Amino acid sequence: MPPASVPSPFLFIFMGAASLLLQIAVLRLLLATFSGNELTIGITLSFWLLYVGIGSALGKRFSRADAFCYSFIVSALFAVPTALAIKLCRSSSWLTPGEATSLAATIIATAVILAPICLILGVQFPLAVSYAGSRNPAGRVYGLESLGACCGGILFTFALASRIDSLELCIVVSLCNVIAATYLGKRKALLSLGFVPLILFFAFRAQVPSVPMRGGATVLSQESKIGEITVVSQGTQSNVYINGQFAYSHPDPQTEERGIHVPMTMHPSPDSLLVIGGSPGCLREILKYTVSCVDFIELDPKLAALSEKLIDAAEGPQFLKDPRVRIVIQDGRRFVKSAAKDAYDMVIVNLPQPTTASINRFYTRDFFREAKSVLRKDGIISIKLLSSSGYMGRSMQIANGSVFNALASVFPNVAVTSQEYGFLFASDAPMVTDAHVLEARFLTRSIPVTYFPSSLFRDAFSSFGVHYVRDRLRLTVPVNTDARPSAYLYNLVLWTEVHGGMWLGHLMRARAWVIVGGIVLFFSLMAFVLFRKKEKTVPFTIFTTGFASLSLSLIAILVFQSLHGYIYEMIGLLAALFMAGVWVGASAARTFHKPFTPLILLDTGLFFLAVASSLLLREPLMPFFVALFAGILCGAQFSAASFTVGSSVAGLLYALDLSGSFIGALITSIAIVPLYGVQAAALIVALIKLASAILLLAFRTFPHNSFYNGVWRR
Amino acid sequence: MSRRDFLKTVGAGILALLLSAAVDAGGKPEQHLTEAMFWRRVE
Amino acid sequence: MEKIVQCELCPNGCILGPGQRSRCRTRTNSDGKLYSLVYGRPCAVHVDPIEKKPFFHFLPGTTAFSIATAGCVLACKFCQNWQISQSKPEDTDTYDLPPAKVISNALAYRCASIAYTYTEPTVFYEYMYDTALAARKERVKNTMHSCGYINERPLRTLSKYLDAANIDLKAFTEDFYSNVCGGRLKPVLDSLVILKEEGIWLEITNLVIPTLNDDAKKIREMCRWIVDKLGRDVPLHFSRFFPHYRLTNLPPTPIETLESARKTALDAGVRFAYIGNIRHEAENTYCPNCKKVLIERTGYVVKGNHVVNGKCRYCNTAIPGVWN
Repeated sequence: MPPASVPSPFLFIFMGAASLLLQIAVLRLLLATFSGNELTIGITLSFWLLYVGIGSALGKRFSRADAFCYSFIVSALFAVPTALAIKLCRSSSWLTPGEATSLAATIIATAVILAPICLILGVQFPLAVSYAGSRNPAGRVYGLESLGACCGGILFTFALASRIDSLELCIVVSLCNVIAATYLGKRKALLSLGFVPLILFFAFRAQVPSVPMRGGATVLSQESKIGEITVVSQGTQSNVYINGQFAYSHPDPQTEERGIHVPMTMHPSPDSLLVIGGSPGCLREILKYTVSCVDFIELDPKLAALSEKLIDAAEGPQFLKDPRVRIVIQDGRRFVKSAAKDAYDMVIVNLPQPTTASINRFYTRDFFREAKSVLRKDGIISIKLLSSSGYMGRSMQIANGSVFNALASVFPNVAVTSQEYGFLFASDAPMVTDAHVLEARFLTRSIPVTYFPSSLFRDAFSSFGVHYVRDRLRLTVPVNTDARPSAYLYNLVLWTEVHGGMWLGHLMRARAWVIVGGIVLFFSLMAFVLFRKKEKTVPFTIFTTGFASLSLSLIAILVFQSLHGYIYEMIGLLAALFMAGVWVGASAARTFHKPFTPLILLDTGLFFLAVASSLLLREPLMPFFVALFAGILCGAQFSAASFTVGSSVAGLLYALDLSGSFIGALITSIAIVPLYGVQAAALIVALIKLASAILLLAFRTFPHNSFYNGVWRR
Repeated sequence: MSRRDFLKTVGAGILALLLSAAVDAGGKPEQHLTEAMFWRRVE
Repeated sequence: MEKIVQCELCPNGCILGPGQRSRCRTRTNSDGKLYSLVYGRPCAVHVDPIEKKPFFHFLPGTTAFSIATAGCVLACKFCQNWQISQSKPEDTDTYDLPPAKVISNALAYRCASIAYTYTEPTVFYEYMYDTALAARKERVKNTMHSCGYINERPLRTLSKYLDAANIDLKAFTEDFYSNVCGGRLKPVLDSLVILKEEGIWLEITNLVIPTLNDDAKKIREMCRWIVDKLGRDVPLHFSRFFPHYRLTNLPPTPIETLESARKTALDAGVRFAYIGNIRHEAENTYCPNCKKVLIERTGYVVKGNHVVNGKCRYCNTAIPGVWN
């Protein structure tokens, strides 16, 4: 029974914020357990949306008046166990220690662990709708919940991230949930239930290890802005893991010496350097040269602090006090964008392979152009790609080749090394690649090294090896750019080849006919399910709006990055703008008298927005504009649609919105954008929304009120 | 959408998939076979 | 009668119905006959220093014409060549290089030997056998780097033309072989003994992987077995592990681990123990008698060689190996 008075909006805002914070906590834990790239994020999000969708479709079966109150309690009871289960997963025995998790194991574990908590969060939405009980309650709850999610996102990004870890976040949210339930149920006794998560938290917090490998002692484990940092020591060697993935060992002089002395020897007189990322030992190697300035860029303050601690322990504090060294904690793209022109002799990119979209930003043509502007006339940029030995497979060929092409499209001279080394160098001036000259150059500088044989140049620049790599890379067609990140796509293909089979690779190589056949089959099935009765066109609209909203947000993010060259802090702001837009749209549309016509107008609006975003790719304010208006239009659509079909099916609409969003996120990020680019992605959104607007227009003559009441009330 | 239309589109989709399979089969590289040295027939 | 065949090349012993493919991906049953799919079709062709294989007591300072085809009889989770070893021949880009062309190329590049390497040469046995036979006639030597996962009869047949073998002894436990490599230890040990019996120059490589096979007790056991069954003269290379393929979440081997493994081997009676994949003084060959540096190496380059006619220049101790 809805209460007589309209309940406080804060309850729904809190619900949105709590749900988002739990989502962030669980997502971060899962990423730290399984390899954290967009594919695993996609898998997690897909199950998340699927279960929340099922939950919200189920939710209307609960008719008890106090069900909404209890939903907070149940969510509080499940949050901490879910987090603990994910942590336990890592130390279970179905993995060879040190082996990256297979795709199948990732999918199964995610599917099982997420089920309870997500179903509860899903059930909450229809319960909240029936509790809200005003005119168009679904629209109201949707808008307020989005506002809550927006607040939760801002709160996390600017206040909570890197201050508390995911498990702590779960316990805080659980306790807030208990308080909310107590307020709702007006029974103080409920407060005592808060002890259950508290006891679980304190009992198991220390018990559940977070070990990426066995046989070493975990000396540090903390969460930072970008994820979980773990240090496992093994004798005198400290092994640093980021999100459960091995990043580097310290000290590992062999790797550090090779990583620095090969690039340094390429330049006749390196004096001023920019180093992006990497292990702290690189600094020690660079300072063996007579350089005047070294700028070391690290995105994550906690990782930078760890690097400093490791150097301190190994080399003594003089390295950090060296006036030539400047450690800058900032996004590398942003730094390069704002750095002085012609400032550096070398830019050394020391980052992992571009298996995630955010790391791929340092391997694109756009980045190379920016790097070129900070390099002096004979300056050299050095990057390191995946190495192989004996033979370079086809996926690696394209992954590395698209980066090679990106370099070659910016710099007239690109030098490669033989397979085992994986270095690429590029410069405006011709570079020396004769092994003997390089060896002599290295020897005349008399750099003290322990593990770096000067004869290495003969192997790295052997003409047989260099020709093989160059010939193999040259054959590739794609060019890795911000708007069309093909290297990232093929690194994902390579990643799936290692972890679970060839399916993604086969998909990429599929012929046009297969794709056409698949699309025809898919849409005929969808159409059959959705349009067996003509009136189901409104749910279809919501489905496509979900798709459009996520695709447009992604497009906004990618365009921002290619325009401004950095993204890290801005994802939070863009997402918040979108969510705020949803709230504005949903509140404004709640008072429509005849919501069916606005639905068509809003669809048309989304169509124009998508077309506009494909045309305005070069406008500096475009991403903000797209994120905000996509939010407003989507929010208004949901509100108008839920008013049209009545609040009894709000749960179903919500589920469709979520599944549309999921498909939009997944397809756009891992297929459409990497394969066809941002512009094509925007046009696809435009086409889909156009279709939905035409369908709505075709069916607008139905007397909607009586009609929908008849259809949707079971 | 009527049942007939539905079946028609499904049929079109399957036809396209078959066609692509046929194209793929035609384009497959030939195998280079050389008789192996150590093997036996299993009775 | 069913047209089923069994491959008798390696201990996997695949039983194949018509059209089926062997576990190593390179053999197929076509109409009741077993065929190799990779004869004369290598996908990796390089000219490498012999030290890279690694062979330290076999024609130091020379180059080896190195070939490999797709496929492997094992599936090690740390494979650094997984892009060929774990793919089908038709998924790789190959060269057309029949045995005669291998020999003429080896001669053109002035290689002293041909190395069957990178993946597992057992999978291209017929190609290797014919090439080895032809190379012997041209006085080019034949070497292979193998995991030793091969049956006795084919191995003895090949031994007639083989000059040297480097066998990966990946660990000394059946557990490791079954969990990490998808194979067994026993056949590898058998192959080592057979190669020694056949008089092939033998070196052994052991990749030391942190937490998986770096147990000092097992390393000692392995070294004792080597001394006992193969003798003290078999060089033993302890290689540094780097994260590869599926074992990307283990760190590189700490240098102390490699050094202590080498010490264990020397204590157990192995006369030539080396550390590989890293520049180290244990890359050099020392005279077991006078302890002087006999062959000085940095990376794959030989800087000095003081083995004269198979003997230590300083104290005339015979140094086992193939020196000319």
